[in-house]
Amino acid sequence: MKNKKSPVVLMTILACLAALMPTSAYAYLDPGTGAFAVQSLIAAIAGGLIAMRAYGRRILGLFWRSKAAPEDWPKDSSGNGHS
Amino acid sequence: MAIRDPGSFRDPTGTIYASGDTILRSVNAEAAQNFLLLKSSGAYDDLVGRGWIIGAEEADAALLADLPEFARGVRVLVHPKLPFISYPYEWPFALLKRAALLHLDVQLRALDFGFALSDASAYNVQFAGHRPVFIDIPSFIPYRDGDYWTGQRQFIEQFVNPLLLRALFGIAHNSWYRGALDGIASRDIVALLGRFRRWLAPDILTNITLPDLMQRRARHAPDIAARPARPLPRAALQMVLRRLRRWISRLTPKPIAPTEWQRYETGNVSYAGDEERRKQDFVADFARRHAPACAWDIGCNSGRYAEALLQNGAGSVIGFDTDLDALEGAASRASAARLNFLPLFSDAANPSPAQGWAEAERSGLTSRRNADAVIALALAHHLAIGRNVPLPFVVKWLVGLAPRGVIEFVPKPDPMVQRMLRLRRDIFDDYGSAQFEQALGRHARIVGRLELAAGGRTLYEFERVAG
Repeated sequence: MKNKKSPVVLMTILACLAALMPTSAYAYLDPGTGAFAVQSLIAAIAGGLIAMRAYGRRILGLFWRSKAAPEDWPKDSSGNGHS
Repeated sequence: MAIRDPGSFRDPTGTIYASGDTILRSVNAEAAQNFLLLKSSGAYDDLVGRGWIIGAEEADAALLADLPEFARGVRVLVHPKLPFISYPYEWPFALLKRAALLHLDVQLRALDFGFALSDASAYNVQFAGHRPVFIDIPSFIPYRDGDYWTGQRQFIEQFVNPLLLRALFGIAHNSWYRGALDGIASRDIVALLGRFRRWLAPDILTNITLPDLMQRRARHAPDIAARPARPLPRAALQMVLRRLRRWISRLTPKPIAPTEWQRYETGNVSYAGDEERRKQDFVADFARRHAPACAWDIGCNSGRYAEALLQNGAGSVIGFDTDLDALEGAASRASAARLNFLPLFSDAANPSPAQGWAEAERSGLTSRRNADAVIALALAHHLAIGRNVPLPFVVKWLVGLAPRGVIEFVPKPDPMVQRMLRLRRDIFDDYGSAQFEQALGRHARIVGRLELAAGGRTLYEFERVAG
Protein backbone atom coordinates (compact mmCIF):
# COMPACT_ATOMS: atom_id res chain seq x y z
CA MET A 1 0.00 0.00 0.00
CA LYS A 2 2.85 2.29 0.86
CA ASN A 3 4.12 2.05 -2.70
CA LYS A 4 0.75 2.92 -4.14
CA LYS A 5 0.40 6.01 -2.02
CA SER A 6 3.88 7.47 -2.20
CA PRO A 7 3.87 8.50 -5.91
CA VAL A 8 0.73 10.55 -5.41
CA VAL A 9 2.26 12.36 -2.48
CA LEU A 10 5.55 12.82 -4.30
CA MET A 11 3.75 14.06 -7.39
CA THR A 12 1.72 16.61 -5.45
CA ILE A 13 4.76 17.91 -3.60
CA LEU A 14 6.74 18.16 -6.84
CA ALA A 15 3.92 19.94 -8.62
CA CYS A 16 3.56 22.46 -5.78
CA LEU A 17 7.31 23.04 -5.62
CA ALA A 18 7.49 23.40 -9.38
CA ALA A 19 4.91 26.15 -9.28
CA LEU A 20 6.65 27.97 -6.43
CA MET A 21 10.22 27.51 -7.51
CA PRO A 22 12.26 30.50 -8.55
CA THR A 23 13.61 29.85 -12.03
CA SER A 24 16.65 32.07 -11.64
CA ALA A 25 18.41 29.37 -9.65
CA TYR A 26 18.69 27.37 -12.85
CA ALA A 27 19.28 30.22 -15.17
CA TYR A 28 22.44 28.75 -16.62
CA LEU A 29 21.66 26.76 -19.66
CA ASP A 30 22.79 23.25 -20.37
CA PRO A 31 20.89 20.40 -21.93
CA GLY A 32 20.27 18.70 -18.58
CA THR A 33 18.97 21.75 -16.73
CA GLY A 34 15.43 20.44 -16.48
CA ALA A 35 16.48 17.01 -15.25
CA PHE A 36 18.84 18.61 -12.73
CA ALA A 37 16.13 20.92 -11.45
CA VAL A 38 13.86 17.98 -10.76
CA GLN A 39 16.66 16.08 -9.03
CA SER A 40 17.27 19.18 -6.96
CA LEU A 41 13.60 19.12 -5.94
CA ILE A 42 13.91 15.48 -4.99
CA ALA A 43 17.06 16.38 -3.04
CA ALA A 44 15.13 19.11 -1.24
CA ILE A 45 12.30 16.73 -0.38
CA ALA A 46 14.71 14.03 0.75
CA GLY A 47 16.61 16.62 2.79
CA GLY A 48 13.33 17.80 4.28
CA LEU A 49 12.33 14.26 5.17
CA ILE A 50 15.66 13.63 6.83
CA ALA A 51 15.37 16.89 8.78
CA MET A 52 11.81 16.05 9.79
CA ARG A 53 12.88 12.61 10.92
CA ALA A 54 15.74 14.06 12.96
CA TYR A 55 13.43 16.72 14.41
CA GLY A 56 10.79 14.08 15.13
CA ARG A 57 13.37 11.98 16.92
CA ARG A 58 14.31 14.92 19.06
CA ILE A 59 10.70 15.51 20.00
CA LEU A 60 10.23 11.80 20.60
CA GLY A 61 13.46 11.81 22.56
CA LEU A 62 12.15 14.58 24.84
CA PHE A 63 8.94 12.68 25.22
CA TRP A 64 10.75 9.47 26.08
CA ARG A 65 13.01 11.15 28.55
CA SER A 66 10.14 12.79 30.38
CA LYS A 67 8.43 9.44 30.56
CA ALA A 68 11.52 7.52 31.56
CA ALA A 69 12.62 10.04 34.11
CA PRO A 70 10.25 9.00 36.93
CA GLU A 71 11.67 5.47 36.80
CA ASP A 72 15.14 6.90 37.37
CA TRP A 73 14.22 8.86 40.44
CA PRO A 74 14.33 6.05 42.94
CA LYS A 75 17.75 5.07 41.59
CA ASP A 76 19.11 8.51 42.37
CA SER A 77 22.27 7.75 44.28
CA SER A 78 22.84 11.25 45.62
CA GLY A 79 19.66 10.90 47.58
CA ASN A 80 18.68 14.52 47.18
CA GLY A 81 15.63 13.62 45.11
CA HIS A 82 16.95 15.28 41.94
CA SER A 83 18.59 13.73 38.96
CA MET B 1 47.64 -1.05 -38.08
CA ALA B 2 44.76 -0.21 -35.80
CA ILE B 3 41.96 1.91 -37.21
CA ARG B 4 40.32 4.65 -35.19
CA ASP B 5 36.59 4.12 -34.71
CA PRO B 6 34.84 7.08 -36.34
CA GLY B 7 32.12 6.98 -33.65
CA SER B 8 34.59 7.41 -30.79
CA PHE B 9 35.27 11.09 -30.24
CA ARG B 10 32.74 12.53 -27.83
CA ASP B 11 34.45 11.28 -24.69
CA PRO B 12 37.85 12.96 -24.28
CA THR B 13 38.97 10.34 -21.74
CA GLY B 14 39.44 7.61 -24.31
CA THR B 15 39.50 6.62 -27.97
CA ILE B 16 38.60 3.33 -29.62
CA TYR B 17 40.70 1.58 -32.24
CA ALA B 18 39.88 -1.63 -34.06
CA SER B 19 42.78 -4.02 -34.56
CA GLY B 20 42.03 -7.42 -36.07
CA ASP B 21 39.88 -9.39 -33.65
CA THR B 22 40.35 -7.00 -30.76
CA ILE B 23 39.24 -3.55 -29.78
CA LEU B 24 41.84 -1.24 -28.29
CA ARG B 25 40.87 1.66 -26.08
CA SER B 26 43.53 4.22 -25.30
CA VAL B 27 42.62 6.16 -22.16
CA ASN B 28 43.96 9.27 -20.45
CA ALA B 29 45.25 9.50 -16.88
CA GLU B 30 41.83 10.12 -15.34
CA ALA B 31 40.17 7.17 -17.06
CA ALA B 32 43.17 4.93 -16.30
CA GLN B 33 42.89 5.83 -12.62
CA ASN B 34 39.13 5.18 -12.64
CA PHE B 35 39.65 1.81 -14.29
CA LEU B 36 42.13 0.78 -11.58
CA LEU B 37 39.63 1.87 -8.92
CA LEU B 38 36.85 -0.06 -10.65
CA LYS B 39 38.99 -3.19 -10.53
CA SER B 40 40.23 -2.78 -6.96
CA SER B 41 36.71 -2.04 -5.67
CA GLY B 42 35.47 -5.41 -6.89
CA ALA B 43 32.88 -3.74 -9.13
CA TYR B 44 34.60 -4.84 -12.32
CA ASP B 45 34.72 -8.54 -11.38
CA ASP B 46 31.15 -8.43 -10.12
CA LEU B 47 29.76 -6.83 -13.27
CA VAL B 48 31.81 -8.95 -15.68
CA GLY B 49 30.81 -12.05 -13.69
CA ARG B 50 27.16 -11.19 -14.25
CA GLY B 51 27.82 -10.73 -17.97
CA TRP B 52 26.61 -7.13 -17.71
CA ILE B 53 29.73 -5.32 -18.92
CA ILE B 54 32.35 -6.15 -21.50
CA GLY B 55 35.72 -7.45 -20.34
CA ALA B 56 38.78 -5.19 -20.39
CA GLU B 57 42.43 -6.12 -19.96
CA GLU B 58 45.62 -4.16 -20.29
CA ALA B 59 47.16 -4.39 -23.73
CA ASP B 60 50.42 -6.32 -24.08
CA ALA B 61 53.43 -5.05 -26.00
CA ALA B 62 52.42 -6.77 -29.24
CA LEU B 63 49.04 -5.05 -29.27
CA LEU B 64 50.54 -1.73 -28.21
CA ALA B 65 52.83 -1.88 -31.22
CA ASP B 66 49.73 -1.87 -33.38
CA LEU B 67 48.80 1.61 -32.18
CA PRO B 68 50.55 4.69 -33.48
CA GLU B 69 52.75 6.32 -30.82
CA PHE B 70 50.55 9.40 -30.41
CA ALA B 71 47.48 7.25 -29.81
CA ARG B 72 48.74 5.21 -26.88
CA GLY B 73 47.47 7.48 -24.13
CA VAL B 74 48.33 6.73 -20.53
CA ARG B 75 47.05 3.19 -20.70
CA VAL B 76 45.59 0.98 -23.39
CA LEU B 77 42.78 -1.46 -22.66
CA VAL B 78 41.81 -4.43 -24.81
CA HIS B 79 38.21 -5.55 -25.27
CA PRO B 80 36.96 -8.60 -27.13
CA LYS B 81 35.47 -7.60 -30.47
CA LEU B 82 31.70 -7.96 -30.68
CA PRO B 83 30.62 -9.76 -33.83
CA PHE B 84 28.23 -6.99 -34.83
CA ILE B 85 27.50 -3.44 -33.75
CA SER B 86 23.83 -2.50 -33.82
CA TYR B 87 22.12 0.77 -33.00
CA PRO B 88 19.06 1.57 -30.89
CA TYR B 89 17.12 2.62 -33.98
CA GLU B 90 17.58 -0.91 -35.29
CA TRP B 91 16.43 -2.64 -32.09
CA PRO B 92 12.86 -3.80 -31.74
CA PHE B 93 11.00 -2.65 -28.62
CA ALA B 94 11.96 -5.75 -26.61
CA LEU B 95 15.67 -5.17 -27.16
CA LEU B 96 15.54 -1.45 -26.39
CA LYS B 97 13.72 -2.33 -23.18
CA ARG B 98 16.32 -4.95 -22.27
CA ALA B 99 19.07 -2.43 -22.93
CA ALA B 100 17.34 0.18 -20.75
CA LEU B 101 16.94 -2.25 -17.86
CA LEU B 102 20.55 -3.35 -18.20
CA HIS B 103 21.71 0.26 -18.02
CA LEU B 104 19.78 0.79 -14.78
CA ASP B 105 20.92 -2.55 -13.33
CA VAL B 106 24.55 -1.72 -14.08
CA GLN B 107 24.15 1.71 -12.54
CA LEU B 108 22.45 0.43 -9.36
CA ARG B 109 25.01 -2.33 -8.93
CA ALA B 110 27.93 0.03 -9.55
CA LEU B 111 26.52 2.41 -6.94
CA ASP B 112 26.86 -0.35 -4.35
CA PHE B 113 30.59 -0.28 -5.05
CA GLY B 114 30.79 3.51 -5.06
CA PHE B 115 30.62 4.12 -8.81
CA ALA B 116 28.34 6.20 -11.01
CA LEU B 117 27.95 6.27 -14.79
CA SER B 118 29.02 9.53 -16.40
CA ASP B 119 26.44 9.29 -19.20
CA ALA B 120 23.53 7.20 -20.38
CA SER B 121 24.08 6.77 -24.09
CA ALA B 122 22.04 3.93 -25.56
CA TYR B 123 24.90 3.36 -28.03
CA ASN B 124 26.97 2.13 -25.06
CA VAL B 125 24.82 -0.99 -24.89
CA GLN B 126 25.40 -3.66 -27.51
CA PHE B 127 23.96 -7.10 -28.04
CA ALA B 128 25.82 -10.41 -27.98
CA GLY B 129 23.07 -12.53 -29.48
CA HIS B 130 19.93 -11.60 -27.56
CA ARG B 131 21.86 -10.53 -24.43
CA PRO B 132 22.66 -6.86 -23.84
CA VAL B 133 26.12 -5.90 -22.62
CA PHE B 134 27.42 -2.51 -21.50
CA ILE B 135 30.58 -1.63 -23.42
CA ASP B 136 31.78 1.79 -22.27
CA ILE B 137 34.20 1.11 -19.41
CA PRO B 138 35.39 4.76 -19.01
CA SER B 139 31.77 5.70 -18.19
CA PHE B 140 32.36 4.36 -14.67
CA ILE B 141 33.41 7.25 -12.48
CA PRO B 142 33.72 7.41 -8.69
CA TYR B 143 30.47 8.35 -6.97
CA ARG B 144 30.54 10.96 -4.22
CA ASP B 145 27.68 11.21 -1.76
CA GLY B 146 25.24 13.87 -2.87
CA ASP B 147 26.10 13.58 -6.59
CA TYR B 148 23.33 14.07 -9.11
CA TRP B 149 22.57 11.63 -11.90
CA THR B 150 24.19 13.47 -14.79
CA GLY B 151 22.88 11.08 -17.41
CA GLN B 152 19.20 11.39 -16.54
CA ARG B 153 18.10 13.53 -19.48
CA GLN B 154 20.08 11.35 -21.85
CA PHE B 155 18.60 8.20 -20.36
CA ILE B 156 15.09 9.54 -20.73
CA GLU B 157 15.59 10.70 -24.31
CA GLN B 158 17.59 7.71 -25.53
CA PHE B 159 15.72 4.91 -23.75
CA VAL B 160 12.48 5.95 -22.09
CA ASN B 161 10.91 8.28 -24.67
CA PRO B 162 11.40 5.84 -27.57
CA LEU B 163 9.83 3.08 -25.47
CA LEU B 164 6.92 5.34 -24.51
CA LEU B 165 6.28 6.20 -28.13
CA ARG B 166 5.39 2.58 -28.75
CA ALA B 167 3.94 1.70 -25.35
CA LEU B 168 1.60 4.70 -25.15
CA PHE B 169 0.89 5.64 -28.74
CA GLY B 170 1.64 2.53 -30.82
CA ILE B 171 4.29 4.44 -32.80
CA ALA B 172 7.47 2.50 -33.54
CA HIS B 173 10.55 4.38 -32.33
CA ASN B 174 12.84 3.18 -35.09
CA SER B 175 12.36 5.71 -37.90
CA TRP B 176 12.08 8.65 -35.52
CA TYR B 177 15.19 7.59 -33.61
CA ARG B 178 17.13 7.09 -36.82
CA GLY B 179 16.40 10.69 -37.69
CA ALA B 180 17.15 11.91 -34.17
CA LEU B 181 20.34 10.08 -33.23
CA ASP B 182 20.52 11.61 -29.76
CA GLY B 183 17.11 10.25 -28.85
CA ILE B 184 13.53 11.46 -28.85
CA ALA B 185 13.15 14.84 -27.17
CA SER B 186 10.94 15.07 -24.09
CA ARG B 187 9.15 18.08 -25.53
CA ASP B 188 7.93 15.86 -28.38
CA ILE B 189 6.53 13.34 -25.92
CA VAL B 190 4.92 16.14 -23.89
CA ALA B 191 3.33 17.47 -27.07
CA LEU B 192 1.87 14.04 -27.79
CA LEU B 193 0.58 13.45 -24.25
CA GLY B 194 -2.83 14.70 -23.27
CA ARG B 195 -3.10 17.28 -20.49
CA PHE B 196 -4.43 14.66 -18.12
CA ARG B 197 -1.66 12.12 -18.52
CA ARG B 198 1.01 14.80 -18.67
CA TRP B 199 0.26 15.90 -15.10
CA LEU B 200 -1.36 12.95 -13.40
CA ALA B 201 0.87 10.00 -14.24
CA PRO B 202 3.61 10.29 -11.58
CA ASP B 203 6.41 8.66 -13.61
CA ILE B 204 5.67 10.82 -16.62
CA LEU B 205 5.41 13.93 -14.46
CA THR B 206 8.74 13.46 -12.69
CA ASN B 207 10.74 12.15 -15.64
CA ILE B 208 9.30 14.01 -18.60
CA THR B 209 6.79 16.79 -17.93
CA LEU B 210 8.61 18.57 -15.09
CA PRO B 211 12.15 18.36 -16.53
CA ASP B 212 10.77 19.65 -19.82
CA LEU B 213 8.93 22.48 -18.08
CA MET B 214 12.00 23.48 -16.08
CA GLN B 215 14.12 23.33 -19.18
CA ARG B 216 11.80 25.77 -20.92
CA ARG B 217 11.64 28.07 -17.92
CA ALA B 218 15.42 28.08 -17.66
CA ARG B 219 15.68 29.13 -21.28
CA HIS B 220 13.64 32.26 -20.63
CA ALA B 221 15.10 33.12 -17.24
CA PRO B 222 17.73 35.86 -16.81
CA ASP B 223 21.32 34.69 -16.57
CA ILE B 224 22.08 34.77 -12.85
CA ALA B 225 24.78 32.69 -11.21
CA ALA B 226 23.39 29.46 -9.83
CA ARG B 227 23.41 28.71 -6.15
CA PRO B 228 25.22 25.52 -5.19
CA ALA B 229 23.04 22.46 -5.66
CA ARG B 230 21.62 20.68 -2.66
CA PRO B 231 23.17 17.24 -2.25
CA LEU B 232 21.00 14.40 -3.51
CA PRO B 233 21.12 11.64 -0.88
CA ARG B 234 22.23 8.25 -2.16
CA ALA B 235 18.93 6.72 -1.05
CA ALA B 236 17.03 9.28 -3.13
CA LEU B 237 19.17 8.53 -6.18
CA GLN B 238 18.55 4.82 -5.70
CA MET B 239 14.83 5.49 -5.38
CA VAL B 240 14.82 7.44 -8.66
CA LEU B 241 16.66 4.60 -10.43
CA ARG B 242 14.52 1.84 -8.93
CA ARG B 243 11.25 3.61 -9.73
CA LEU B 244 12.41 4.08 -13.28
CA ARG B 245 13.37 0.44 -13.48
CA ARG B 246 9.97 -0.68 -12.25
CA TRP B 247 8.20 1.65 -14.66
CA ILE B 248 10.19 0.46 -17.68
CA SER B 249 9.83 -3.21 -16.77
CA ARG B 250 6.05 -2.76 -16.96
CA LEU B 251 6.01 -1.14 -20.40
CA THR B 252 4.65 -3.33 -23.17
CA PRO B 253 4.59 -2.62 -26.90
CA LYS B 254 1.22 -1.60 -28.26
CA PRO B 255 0.57 -3.85 -31.27
CA ILE B 256 1.06 -2.21 -34.64
CA ALA B 257 -1.74 -3.65 -36.74
CA PRO B 258 -2.04 -5.48 -39.04
CA THR B 259 0.07 -8.23 -37.58
CA GLU B 260 -0.06 -10.39 -40.66
CA TRP B 261 3.56 -11.53 -40.52
CA GLN B 262 3.47 -12.51 -36.89
CA ARG B 263 0.89 -15.13 -37.75
CA TYR B 264 2.99 -16.19 -40.69
CA GLU B 265 3.84 -19.50 -39.11
CA THR B 266 0.44 -20.68 -38.02
CA GLY B 267 -1.92 -19.08 -40.49
CA ASN B 268 0.31 -19.03 -43.53
CA VAL B 269 -1.46 -19.71 -46.80
CA SER B 270 1.64 -19.59 -48.98
CA TYR B 271 2.75 -23.14 -48.23
CA ALA B 272 0.73 -26.33 -48.57
CA GLY B 273 1.33 -29.82 -47.16
CA ASP B 274 4.96 -30.49 -46.32
CA GLU B 275 6.37 -27.56 -48.30
CA GLU B 276 7.34 -25.65 -45.22
CA ARG B 277 9.12 -28.65 -43.71
CA ARG B 278 11.03 -29.22 -46.95
CA LYS B 279 12.00 -25.56 -47.00
CA GLN B 280 13.29 -25.83 -43.45
CA ASP B 281 15.22 -29.03 -44.30
CA PHE B 282 16.87 -27.24 -47.25
CA VAL B 283 17.99 -24.40 -44.98
CA ALA B 284 19.14 -26.84 -42.26
CA ASP B 285 21.13 -28.86 -44.78
CA PHE B 286 22.77 -25.68 -46.06
CA ALA B 287 23.79 -24.74 -42.50
CA ARG B 288 25.17 -28.23 -41.80
CA ARG B 289 27.36 -28.22 -44.87
CA HIS B 290 28.83 -24.75 -44.40
CA ALA B 291 28.54 -24.06 -40.65
CA PRO B 292 28.72 -20.28 -41.12
CA ALA B 293 30.19 -18.39 -38.16
CA CYS B 294 27.66 -15.67 -38.79
CA ALA B 295 24.62 -15.76 -41.05
CA TRP B 296 22.31 -12.91 -42.02
CA ASP B 297 18.64 -13.66 -42.40
CA ILE B 298 17.07 -10.93 -44.53
CA GLY B 299 13.34 -10.91 -43.89
CA CYS B 300 13.74 -13.03 -40.76
CA ASN B 301 10.13 -12.69 -39.62
CA SER B 302 9.77 -14.35 -36.22
CA GLY B 303 13.04 -16.23 -36.61
CA ARG B 304 11.93 -19.73 -37.52
CA TYR B 305 14.65 -20.22 -40.14
CA ALA B 306 17.23 -18.39 -38.07
CA GLU B 307 16.62 -21.01 -35.41
CA ALA B 308 16.97 -23.77 -38.02
CA LEU B 309 20.34 -22.29 -39.05
CA LEU B 310 21.53 -22.12 -35.44
CA GLN B 311 20.44 -25.66 -34.65
CA ASN B 312 22.42 -26.93 -37.61
CA GLY B 313 25.81 -25.40 -37.18
CA ALA B 314 25.55 -21.64 -37.66
CA GLY B 315 27.45 -19.76 -34.95
CA SER B 316 25.24 -16.71 -34.85
CA VAL B 317 22.44 -15.19 -36.87
CA ILE B 318 21.52 -11.57 -37.36
CA GLY B 319 18.00 -11.20 -38.64
CA PHE B 320 16.43 -8.20 -40.36
CA ASP B 321 12.79 -7.43 -40.89
CA THR B 322 10.41 -4.50 -41.13
CA ASP B 323 7.51 -6.09 -39.30
CA LEU B 324 7.81 -4.90 -35.73
CA ASP B 325 5.38 -7.37 -34.27
CA ALA B 326 7.16 -10.26 -35.97
CA LEU B 327 10.43 -8.87 -34.54
CA GLU B 328 8.93 -8.95 -31.05
CA GLY B 329 8.18 -12.64 -31.67
CA ALA B 330 11.74 -13.14 -32.89
CA ALA B 331 13.17 -11.44 -29.79
CA SER B 332 11.16 -13.65 -27.45
CA ARG B 333 12.11 -16.73 -29.46
CA ALA B 334 15.78 -15.77 -29.13
CA SER B 335 15.63 -15.32 -25.37
CA ALA B 336 13.34 -18.29 -24.70
CA ALA B 337 15.58 -20.71 -26.60
CA ARG B 338 18.78 -18.80 -25.65
CA LEU B 339 19.68 -18.44 -29.30
CA ASN B 340 22.66 -16.48 -30.54
CA PHE B 341 20.19 -14.57 -32.66
CA LEU B 342 19.85 -10.80 -32.94
CA PRO B 343 16.65 -9.69 -34.69
CA LEU B 344 16.84 -6.12 -35.97
CA PHE B 345 14.54 -3.66 -37.66
CA SER B 346 15.74 -2.96 -41.17
CA ASP B 347 13.98 -2.18 -44.39
CA ALA B 348 15.94 -3.84 -47.19
CA ALA B 349 14.84 -1.05 -49.52
CA ASN B 350 16.16 1.59 -47.13
CA PRO B 351 18.81 0.17 -44.79
CA SER B 352 20.53 2.22 -42.07
CA PRO B 353 22.80 4.82 -43.68
CA ALA B 354 26.17 6.10 -42.49
CA GLN B 355 25.22 9.14 -40.42
CA GLY B 356 26.01 11.35 -37.46
CA TRP B 357 29.12 13.52 -37.28
CA ALA B 358 30.96 13.61 -40.61
CA GLU B 359 28.48 11.01 -41.82
CA ALA B 360 30.66 8.39 -40.18
CA GLU B 361 29.71 8.32 -36.51
CA ARG B 362 27.15 5.56 -37.05
CA SER B 363 27.95 3.13 -39.84
CA GLY B 364 25.65 2.11 -42.62
CA LEU B 365 24.41 -1.45 -42.68
CA THR B 366 26.43 -2.61 -45.67
CA SER B 367 29.72 -1.47 -44.15
CA ARG B 368 28.94 -3.53 -41.04
CA ARG B 369 28.38 -6.75 -42.95
CA ASN B 370 30.14 -9.71 -41.40
CA ALA B 371 28.15 -12.63 -42.74
CA ASP B 372 29.60 -15.86 -44.08
CA ALA B 373 26.18 -16.76 -45.38
CA VAL B 374 22.91 -15.04 -46.14
CA ILE B 375 19.40 -16.36 -46.44
CA ALA B 376 16.57 -14.39 -48.03
CA LEU B 377 13.42 -16.45 -47.95
CA ALA B 378 10.30 -15.13 -49.63
CA LEU B 379 11.80 -11.64 -49.72
CA ALA B 380 12.71 -10.84 -53.32
CA HIS B 381 9.11 -10.39 -54.52
CA HIS B 382 8.41 -7.85 -51.77
CA LEU B 383 11.29 -5.74 -53.06
CA ALA B 384 10.80 -6.39 -56.78
CA ILE B 385 7.02 -6.05 -56.90
CA GLY B 386 6.16 -4.35 -53.61
CA ARG B 387 8.84 -1.68 -53.94
CA ASN B 388 9.56 -1.60 -57.66
CA VAL B 389 13.24 -2.50 -57.27
CA PRO B 390 14.28 -4.27 -60.49
CA LEU B 391 14.83 -7.98 -59.87
CA PRO B 392 18.50 -7.96 -60.99
CA PHE B 393 19.20 -5.16 -58.46
CA VAL B 394 17.67 -7.23 -55.67
CA VAL B 395 19.70 -10.31 -56.62
CA LYS B 396 22.94 -8.32 -56.90
CA TRP B 397 22.43 -6.73 -53.49
CA LEU B 398 21.68 -10.07 -51.79
CA VAL B 399 24.64 -11.83 -53.38
CA GLY B 400 26.86 -8.94 -52.30
CA LEU B 401 26.05 -9.52 -48.64
CA ALA B 402 27.80 -12.89 -48.25
CA PRO B 403 29.85 -15.38 -50.28
CA ARG B 404 27.07 -17.98 -50.20
CA GLY B 405 23.46 -18.28 -49.34
CA VAL B 406 19.91 -19.37 -50.03
CA ILE B 407 17.36 -17.24 -51.87
CA GLU B 408 13.74 -18.18 -52.29
CA PHE B 409 12.08 -17.06 -55.49
CA VAL B 410 8.31 -16.62 -55.57
CA PRO B 411 6.93 -16.68 -59.13
CA LYS B 412 4.12 -14.50 -60.40
CA PRO B 413 1.22 -16.99 -60.24
CA ASP B 414 1.82 -17.36 -56.47
CA PRO B 415 -1.24 -16.20 -54.45
CA MET B 416 0.91 -13.74 -52.48
CA VAL B 417 2.27 -12.08 -55.63
CA GLN B 418 -1.22 -12.04 -57.11
CA ARG B 419 -2.49 -10.31 -54.01
CA MET B 420 0.26 -7.71 -54.31
CA LEU B 421 -0.76 -7.12 -57.91
CA ARG B 422 -4.48 -6.99 -57.25
CA LEU B 423 -4.72 -3.26 -56.86
CA ARG B 424 -2.08 -2.17 -59.31
CA ARG B 425 -1.13 -2.57 -62.91
CA ASP B 426 1.30 -5.39 -63.64
CA ILE B 427 4.35 -3.53 -64.94
CA PHE B 428 6.67 -6.39 -64.07
CA ASP B 429 7.26 -8.11 -67.38
CA ASP B 430 10.81 -8.92 -66.36
CA TYR B 431 9.78 -10.75 -63.21
CA GLY B 432 10.04 -14.50 -63.68
CA SER B 433 12.05 -17.59 -62.77
CA ALA B 434 14.14 -17.41 -65.94
CA GLN B 435 15.09 -13.77 -65.31
CA PHE B 436 15.85 -14.57 -61.68
CA GLU B 437 18.17 -17.43 -62.59
CA GLN B 438 19.84 -15.30 -65.22
CA ALA B 439 20.43 -12.49 -62.72
CA LEU B 440 21.77 -14.89 -60.11
CA GLY B 441 24.02 -16.53 -62.69
CA ARG B 442 25.65 -13.17 -63.39
CA HIS B 443 27.16 -13.00 -59.89
CA ALA B 444 27.06 -16.53 -58.54
CA ARG B 445 26.98 -20.21 -59.28
CA ILE B 446 23.71 -21.98 -58.52
CA VAL B 447 24.76 -25.05 -56.51
CA GLY B 448 21.38 -26.29 -55.34
CA ARG B 449 17.75 -25.87 -56.32
CA LEU B 450 14.52 -27.08 -54.72
CA GLU B 451 11.10 -26.51 -56.20
CA LEU B 452 8.64 -26.56 -53.31
CA ALA B 453 5.71 -27.02 -55.71
CA ALA B 454 5.76 -27.60 -59.45
CA GLY B 455 6.13 -24.17 -61.06
CA GLY B 456 5.83 -22.57 -57.62
CA ARG B 457 8.15 -21.21 -54.95
CA THR B 458 11.74 -22.33 -55.48
CA LEU B 459 14.82 -22.28 -53.24
CA TYR B 460 18.26 -21.60 -54.72
CA GLU B 461 21.57 -22.15 -53.02
CA PHE B 462 24.29 -19.97 -54.52
CA GLU B 463 28.02 -19.53 -54.27
CA ARG B 464 29.30 -16.10 -55.19
CA VAL B 465 31.75 -15.91 -58.06
CA ALA B 466 34.73 -13.68 -57.36
CA GLY B 467 34.89 -10.43 -59.28
